[in-house]
Amino acid sequence: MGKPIKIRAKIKGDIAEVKALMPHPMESGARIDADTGEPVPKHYIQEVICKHNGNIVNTAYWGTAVSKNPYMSFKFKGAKSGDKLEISWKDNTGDTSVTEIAFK
Amino acid sequence: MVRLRAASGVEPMDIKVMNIKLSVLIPTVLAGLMLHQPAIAKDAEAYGAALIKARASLAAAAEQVQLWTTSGALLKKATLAAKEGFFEQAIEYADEARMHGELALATALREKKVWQNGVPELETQQ
Amino acid sequence: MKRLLLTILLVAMTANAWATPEDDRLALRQFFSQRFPNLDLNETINGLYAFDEGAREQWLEMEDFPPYEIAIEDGEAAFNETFANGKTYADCFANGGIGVKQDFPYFDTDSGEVITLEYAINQCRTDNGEQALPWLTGKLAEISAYMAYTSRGKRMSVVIPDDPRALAAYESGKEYYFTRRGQLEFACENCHMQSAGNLLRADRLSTMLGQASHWPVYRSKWGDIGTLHKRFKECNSQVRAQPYEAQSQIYRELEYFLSYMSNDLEMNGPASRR
Repeated sequence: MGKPIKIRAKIKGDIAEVKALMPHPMESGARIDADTGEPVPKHYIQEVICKHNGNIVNTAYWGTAVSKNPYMSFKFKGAKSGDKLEISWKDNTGDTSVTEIAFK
Repeated sequence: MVRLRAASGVEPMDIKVMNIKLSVLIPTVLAGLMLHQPAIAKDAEAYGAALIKARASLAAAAEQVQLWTTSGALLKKATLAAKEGFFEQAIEYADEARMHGELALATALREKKVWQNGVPELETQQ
Repeated sequence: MKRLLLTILLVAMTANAWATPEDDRLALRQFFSQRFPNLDLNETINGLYAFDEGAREQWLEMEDFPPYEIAIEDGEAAFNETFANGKTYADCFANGGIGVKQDFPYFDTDSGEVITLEYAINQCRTDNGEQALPWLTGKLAEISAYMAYTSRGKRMSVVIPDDPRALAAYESGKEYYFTRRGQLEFACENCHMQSAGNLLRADRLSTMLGQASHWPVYRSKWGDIGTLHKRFKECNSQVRAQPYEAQSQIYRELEYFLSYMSNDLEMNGPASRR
């Protein structure tokens, strides 16, 4: 299991604003390890899925250009106080992480 | 540029090239070619001397305050050029490194006297 | 050593002729008040964001969910680790190491050295049989970030004790700050005093006032949290001066001087910068 995702979500009017910070090394495979001289193997998030009350509101496909501990923010309509927001990611090693919060 | 004149009475060795008699030119060129080997040794010596001077100047700068980041690369270039036999170039690099050291030292010595000028002084209302 | 003795001698002989550190600090504040009449000096702890509207907006948005948050959490976890001999970092610091960064660096009258927070952290480790951590980034910076976070809101309160060695260390840092160096022959003051607020490529230069309050820093350029001495090394390289080792005597003395100049300003570490 990957590290939990940090989520901040606010509702302003009828727009929900979501900010997420995902601890992850995001190795591109191009960086050389200073000690061994070998490239550090690729280890990056490939897919991020955000669900509001079970319905997908955002899907992101990431590659090696996204840097370490990625930060993502997005907005969507139709959220109410008490609704559930779930963000999950899957990386190239098959590791996953899921975090759920409720809108206040 | 050698114009051979099939003139009677002119000896081959009296032919002139660039206004120098061949009888003088040919032996000079041959001697020069034979002295080429020791000439390389002399260049290597000159490079060695330039390298020592460069290192000394950089050490003096390092003692006072900070070296420049540029001198290390120059010394590396000098060593590389010397390895491949390009002594003139190597000496140029070594001399430039030496100059970097001298300039860094000059800055350090000058700054010791003038750095105080930049410090703001408290203006008090009298 | 010889330089230190000479400096002490000079200081002892001319102490009255020289301004005191407090004079220096007040003169510096005066310098910036005159240069920027509309600037609230307390804002200088935010560096270039005190000058650049566009950058400030982006920074405030980032502060909502700052990139150094992870470093604080990892730092807290590392701080609470127990050493092999059973002791913890809390045993090495006053108040268990919580809310103490504003007192660093301090002058240790026993050893005669300037002790910065990072220096103290590694000293704590080696005193308890642990290996010292690398100075520039990584675990040490994270522990420093956590400790800086616990000092938020406090006022910088660096002390120069009544000891000629301490004064000499302060003066040594001060001399370093105002001395031109490197192939580009810049002194720290050329950028951070004379040209503060001006554009250097795409960034505005921060004022010397308030520079020491917000370390360690998550620099977008590094993509990671880093210590003040890492920035010193970078600044040196940028003017093509050979950098010193992190936590070398001269850098610690420089930090001593800079921190004293920021006395009474609010501690706001760790911070994020471009």
